[in-house]
Amino acid sequence: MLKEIINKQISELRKLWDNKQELLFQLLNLAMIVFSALMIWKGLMFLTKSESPVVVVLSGSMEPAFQRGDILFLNNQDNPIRIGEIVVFKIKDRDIPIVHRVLKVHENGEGEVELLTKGDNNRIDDRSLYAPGQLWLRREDILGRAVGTLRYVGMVTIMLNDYPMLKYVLVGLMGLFVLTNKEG
Amino acid sequence: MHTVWVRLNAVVFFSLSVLLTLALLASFTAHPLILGHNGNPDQPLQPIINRIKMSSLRSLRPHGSVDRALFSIDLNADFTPAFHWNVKQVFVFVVAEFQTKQNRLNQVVLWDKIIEADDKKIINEKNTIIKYSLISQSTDLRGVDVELKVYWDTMPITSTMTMGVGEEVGRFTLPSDYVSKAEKGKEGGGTKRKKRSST
Amino acid sequence: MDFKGMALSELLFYYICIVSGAIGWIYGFVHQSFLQTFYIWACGLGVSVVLCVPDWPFFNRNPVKWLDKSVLEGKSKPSKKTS
Repeated sequence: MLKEIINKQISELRKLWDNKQELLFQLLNLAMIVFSALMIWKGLMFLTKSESPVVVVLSGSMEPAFQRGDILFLNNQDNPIRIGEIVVFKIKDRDIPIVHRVLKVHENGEGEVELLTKGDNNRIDDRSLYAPGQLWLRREDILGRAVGTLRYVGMVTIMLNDYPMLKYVLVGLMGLFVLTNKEG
Repeated sequence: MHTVWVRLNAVVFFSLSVLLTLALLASFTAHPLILGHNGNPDQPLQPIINRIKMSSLRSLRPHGSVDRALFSIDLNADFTPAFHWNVKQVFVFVVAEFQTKQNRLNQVVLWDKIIEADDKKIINEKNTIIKYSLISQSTDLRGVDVELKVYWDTMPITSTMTMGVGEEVGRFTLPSDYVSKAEKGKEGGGTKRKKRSST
Repeated sequence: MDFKGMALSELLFYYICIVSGAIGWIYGFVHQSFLQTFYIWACGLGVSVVLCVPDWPFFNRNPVKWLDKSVLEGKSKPSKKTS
């Protein structure tokens, strides 16, 4: 069964290589898929004013609201962050953004906001997670507030992170199927 | 439709779009006209907050460069109406809002509770010590007017998250002088024990 | 799978998915549980995968009638000579 499929794909690829016009067509097809995905991403970035409008939850610190593998949609419009909102923030010198709930809001006379966050499932607030000496989050640390979720979809991303080889296998397979799919 | 793969792809993709439609339809039913409390559109899907107030002050003390107040609260609320088939959990939290010389707005969470769909939805806290003490950004809490408000963050299964705040507000003024724990030691011990037994 | 089988299989999964989704939604709404809706939808998906994806015999009841080999050979031979 599997061998049959592989052989079929190889013969399809050979045929493609011989027919340069069709090869070009399929390559353009592949490029269209890649670029429309990129366009959607950039469009979302523009609409939500967030540099990463979709993130995957990597820890269980917000359970039961969010679990590992949930996908979060973020919005980073200008209106001020208020108490109880779930925000995604970035700490200096740390790659991975954190999703937690706002525990304290202090807004001074000039409208500058200082925030403290805490995970629903954590016992204490996030001061120990912040950069050394950092007591508060500021507006510019916030990537966006969570507006909605999709469960489990992000599990794929987590697996790709854990097993980097899987990434190449998956991308290769997808490319192959797009190239050899005649109906595309 | 000529190979197994094309058919599998078609079936899975079509059923996923059906699921998406179901999810969208489900999120529309949260509208009070459809799923109002007891079918009554005048009673939307809002919890009933009966009482929120500060019950007894434990301490108000300077803590380095900041002021820190500790007290207990009464909270009586029924969150049953806030639940319907598209709600996964409601995050309930009590917020102290106050103004200081330094800040035009301070919001501090004092107490919170996660109510999941299967949990008991009636909250009855009596003289419960707050989970997170009321801390200001400088030594300016004496004589400050504080408003206690009940907020809830509804997390649906398929729709967007929504936040609500109760109309009931518990107002009180912090004393104009520091109050240390030692003065109210006995009372404080009593409330502490009470809290332990209730959790 | 023949052409009529393809059309049948497409119609089948189309209706199974929609009907199971509709039933699931109504059942879930009455019982106020979206999980029930999801389970019924998943059953519909399972049934349509089993029924519509493999090449079952009942999809092959209208095989394509090819031209007779002798007819083809009879026609091609003279045409080859003329070219």
